[in-house]
Amino acid sequence: MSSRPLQQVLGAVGRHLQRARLATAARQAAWGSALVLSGGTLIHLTVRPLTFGGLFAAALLPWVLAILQSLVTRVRAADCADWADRQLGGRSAFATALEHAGDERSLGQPAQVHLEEWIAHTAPHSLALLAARPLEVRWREPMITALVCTALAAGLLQLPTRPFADATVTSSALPDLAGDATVASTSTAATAATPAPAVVVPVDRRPPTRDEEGSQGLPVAAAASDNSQESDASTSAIAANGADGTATTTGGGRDAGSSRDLGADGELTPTWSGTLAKQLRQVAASRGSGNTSADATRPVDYSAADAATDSAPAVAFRTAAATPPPASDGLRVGPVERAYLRAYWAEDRARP
Amino acid sequence: MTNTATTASAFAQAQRELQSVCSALDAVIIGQRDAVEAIVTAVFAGGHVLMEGLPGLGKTHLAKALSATLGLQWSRVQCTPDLMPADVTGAEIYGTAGSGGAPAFVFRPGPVFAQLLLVDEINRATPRTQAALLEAMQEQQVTHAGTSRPLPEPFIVLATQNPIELEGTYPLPEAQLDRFMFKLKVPYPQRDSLRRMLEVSLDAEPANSLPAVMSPADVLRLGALCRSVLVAERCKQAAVSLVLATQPAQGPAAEAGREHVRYGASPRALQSLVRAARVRAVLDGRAHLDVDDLAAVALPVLRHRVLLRLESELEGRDVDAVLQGIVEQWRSAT
Repeated sequence: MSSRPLQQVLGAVGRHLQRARLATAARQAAWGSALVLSGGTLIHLTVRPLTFGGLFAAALLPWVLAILQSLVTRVRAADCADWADRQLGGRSAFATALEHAGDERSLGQPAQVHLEEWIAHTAPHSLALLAARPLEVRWREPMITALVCTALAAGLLQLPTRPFADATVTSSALPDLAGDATVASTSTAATAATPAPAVVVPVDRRPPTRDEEGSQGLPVAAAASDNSQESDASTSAIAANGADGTATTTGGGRDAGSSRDLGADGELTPTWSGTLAKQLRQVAASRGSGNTSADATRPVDYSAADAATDSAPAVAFRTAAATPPPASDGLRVGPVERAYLRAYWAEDRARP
Repeated sequence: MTNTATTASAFAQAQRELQSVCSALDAVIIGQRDAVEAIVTAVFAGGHVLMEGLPGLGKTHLAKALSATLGLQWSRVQCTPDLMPADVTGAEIYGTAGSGGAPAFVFRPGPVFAQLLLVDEINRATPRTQAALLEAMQEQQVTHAGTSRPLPEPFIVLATQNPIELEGTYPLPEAQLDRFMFKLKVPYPQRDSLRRMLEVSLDAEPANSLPAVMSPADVLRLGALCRSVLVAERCKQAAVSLVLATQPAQGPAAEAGREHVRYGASPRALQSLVRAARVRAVLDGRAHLDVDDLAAVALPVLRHRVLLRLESELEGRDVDAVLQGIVEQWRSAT
């Protein structure tokens, strides 16, 4: 049966259901966008920096998918008939007529003819009911949430990203100033006064044990950084430790028998401990030739020695300190010293 | 065009005729509109009806009025424990078939050979006699001495039983209950209905003077028309779901079904459900079935086919209340 009233009702219901499906998809997309924006902002603040453009593009993805899906999937005529029967007073007439549309046996039968008449009589009422039926989609909550999330993301993505990483970058720049003791101490004091836990290396608060007394000077400075200067500082720090006469070994990330394994320190976060272990391995690799002497040109940290005598809260910012004394008997003369000596000798030769 | 108009008006005419039967019965059976509609539904669906109610509520009167309205030949059997099957189906007696003929055994039809059989207090008959009705109700024929004799058409059994005074009665077995399309509970009339009875049936039996609204042929014609009602797949699935909802062990039984029902409705109940719902659709002026039609006939179709658990019966649960919960849950799901 392809009577005109039936087609009218099914067409109108199909359009209504398509609109409802589109609206529902948009509502779900709004929730999805809010979720993406929230998650992206969280990632930006904690894991890695994100650009607002990229995040906004990701937030648009649910909209594109939802709209595409709602446009691609069409509402079936049987669904329209079923919906009209339930919602528009069809009393199963539309579904029945649709099912018997291709049935030639029922063509012209009294029931079929009566059903057509019944639909023709009911269709205007059903169409009126449909026209008076609003599209019931709750837009307010998802839209407001999506807008709020967009505003929050736009604001928060302007903030400095990843405080840990930023502080690490700051501390990695410090060894450049390590040659100047004044600058280094000022920088250390200023950083220590900063409440942010930048490059905070937890130090064991318990009193040193007998085994540990000899290794209190273990350098822990300039720990977490990808900067190669950090590695150099650590290298020189360990070298200086060896110069102090404490037990030092070559190879491995730990001074055997005399120092604590920083990588295994329970107070360190996995990220920090992992970084430390990596750096210590790099140091060990660089010292693979058995050279335990310190490089006089590199900074080293002596603050650990202070920590051994200080029972105050030991969480402090530690960075590469001033130039250490030579760790070996051999004198290394740098270009500055060489120039100084050359000038001294010239002046001495000129002296009568 | 004229043919189309004729066929189209067939259902409208059928609706008018069915409504006129209901109105005629409603005029003499005061305050029992639901029972009247249910009986008319069962009659035109080709089913038998078991009526249960207290004495004096008009059950027999309703049967007489129905036969008068439909112009049916009717007979009555008052069941007692000593009623024999031959008293219902008929027996061969020795005599002459006609005047001057040689004497021989001649079959004398019993009261079952009627278009409308009223079996009063059927639960007082012995199971043997009750079983004699089985073949008549189901096959619409009587077999006696190896000879099958068809019953007249239409053939409708209206049985009554009394819910009280159960001593000395033989409750109908489930197999025989299943042969009744409807089990109706005749309620006590309201106050206004009682008042109207005084005006209608105080000094006379109104059923005796009730004019026939239609003939037995019309009953058959309308029955055939009701069988042509279109049933959508959605309604078929809904009917199956309703029957399955009464099954505690199979399918998606309703919560009330799982909790209280011991035995659910049979496949014959499913057939009765759809057949009766089709008549309801015609009564409503439609040539197509709706789920509401199924819901309207669900209770009379299912109430005698569902057995409650013993625990539920001891708790005082009524089968109607349990079925009502099942139907409501089913209706909300369809």
